[in-house]
Amino acid sequence: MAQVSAPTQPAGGLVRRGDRWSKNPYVEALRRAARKPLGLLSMTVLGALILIALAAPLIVRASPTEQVRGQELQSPSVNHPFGTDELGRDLLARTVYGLRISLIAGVFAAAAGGALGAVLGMLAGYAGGVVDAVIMRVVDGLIAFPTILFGIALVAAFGPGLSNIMLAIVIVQIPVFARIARAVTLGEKNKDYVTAAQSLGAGGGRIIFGHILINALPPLTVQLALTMGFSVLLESSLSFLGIGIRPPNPSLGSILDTSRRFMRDHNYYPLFPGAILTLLILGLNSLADTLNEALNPRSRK
Amino acid sequence: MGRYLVQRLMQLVPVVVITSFVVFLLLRLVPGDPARLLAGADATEEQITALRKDLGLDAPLPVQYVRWAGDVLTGDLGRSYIKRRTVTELVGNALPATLELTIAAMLLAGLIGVPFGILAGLRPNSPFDLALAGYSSLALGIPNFLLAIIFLLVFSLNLGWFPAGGRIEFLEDPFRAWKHLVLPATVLGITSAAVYSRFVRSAMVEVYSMDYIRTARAKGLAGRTIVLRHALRNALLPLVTVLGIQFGRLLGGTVVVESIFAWPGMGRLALDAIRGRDYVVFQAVILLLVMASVVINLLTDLLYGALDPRIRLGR
Repeated sequence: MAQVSAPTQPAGGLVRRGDRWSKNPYVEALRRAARKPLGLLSMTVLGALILIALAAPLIVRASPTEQVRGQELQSPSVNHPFGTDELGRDLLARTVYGLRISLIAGVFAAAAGGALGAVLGMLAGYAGGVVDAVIMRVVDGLIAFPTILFGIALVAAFGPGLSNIMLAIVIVQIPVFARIARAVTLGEKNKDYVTAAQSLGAGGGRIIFGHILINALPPLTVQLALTMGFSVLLESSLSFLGIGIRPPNPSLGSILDTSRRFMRDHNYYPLFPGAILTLLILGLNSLADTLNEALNPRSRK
Repeated sequence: MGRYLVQRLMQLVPVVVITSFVVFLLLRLVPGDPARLLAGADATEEQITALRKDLGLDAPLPVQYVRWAGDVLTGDLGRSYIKRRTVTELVGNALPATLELTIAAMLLAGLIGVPFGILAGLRPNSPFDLALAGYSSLALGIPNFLLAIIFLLVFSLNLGWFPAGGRIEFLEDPFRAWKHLVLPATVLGITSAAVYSRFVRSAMVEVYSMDYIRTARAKGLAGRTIVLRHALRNALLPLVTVLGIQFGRLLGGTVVVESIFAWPGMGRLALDAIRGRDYVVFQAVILLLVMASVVINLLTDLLYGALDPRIRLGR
């Protein structure tokens, strides 16, 4: 998966005057996406998945962890649309609650990592000198780790569990965001409007968060969408390898791991959890593509 | 070129120091006392203290790091306390397997991704282009462990075409070795193929809009000549960088793929080490894989510089 998006230009230029709904480039991005069949489809799927995860307790009455004797490895039926697992647990409930974990890991951890990386990058770019050198050398070092490997190493060190996985995702994402934010900051900090703000007495924090951040947002948003898909992948991979979410809590990755032992005779087992996981990552990836196209004038042709 | 090389090598120094320090710290972050863990449940306090001293865990962290880095630089990666063998020995057995798998995956990805990308780039928005776009979205969306499960279910359990796991040395029995290699290499390579095809496609589209291609057309050159001698040269150059990045990704991906297909390589060694809390082995494997991707990135940058004079002179 491409981790670094192309350097992008500020989104200011794409606002079409006279059309009051397209004042906001992000609204415009989503509108443009919704006009294409594929964009509309992926946004609908993503929206539906988020809704399902939010309303999980309303949708499934079965508990994701309750084991029912005599109900082991049942094929899909009206009572258990996704079937049951080897302990008689409802796979629909486990999948839906696993989707929740995926979204929490994907959305929140990615956003936190992105915010932290962005602040560090803008600080490095604006301050320059020693601060820049120290931050960016550490970032250079961290970016050298293959991402999945780094995530595995971090979780191995911190131990399994959702909060440790999220911490690992946050750390893994910092370097890319720091690089992007720094590049934008370097481009902006000598422009006239920054000089003007400085001469009016604005401090560093005010300039970074009030003026530079707005220009860094489009490329950071694209990267965030990419990162969300990747974070979902990372969490499920770690859980699949048995060093992620701890049983009996459901995770799409660990459900798929267990399914390997039973899929020879119960082909349905990996089917639905796998499909949901793929749909989620596909949805997030195409959201990233859409935003990239809308917010990066160079990639729109 | 010489000055550029020196400059690049100098830039590498802080990266190597920082990555190795991070790897070193990871082991120290692990909750609990490694000495107590290694000594076993019925060890006395004196034994644990002695072991801690023996392992050098009583020294301050920076001292420990320098000692460890010194050992690594002289080729001593430590000993596995579980497998009772030196890490060098374990890595020596695992590395050829991982190289075989990653190289096979890269070749496969290149053979699929590059020609498909060229074809799609020559005819943007054609049915073939759209089909390829669909394929690459799907390939980037499916986690590789899920793809592995699907392949196992279809090609191994149901059709019985390929074995479900394990590795055979090529020198021993080339045909059976090949059969064992197909599934893991395909799973690992399919995502890279998607990345390459997307990249080559957009590079082709971009190159084709340039003036010199129009000039070549105006001169009346044959379509094949324009593609092979004019467009491809420039379109494929940046691919070198993508190859380097993908190699790092493949190295990370081997952890998952090797564990599913029981492939006795570095990824599996790392995973076994995590599960068995064999931290010395884990640390060494991670360090080697990270260093490998650092070196590969350097090599691709140098290769890029050698292929494209503009890069070299620009710095």
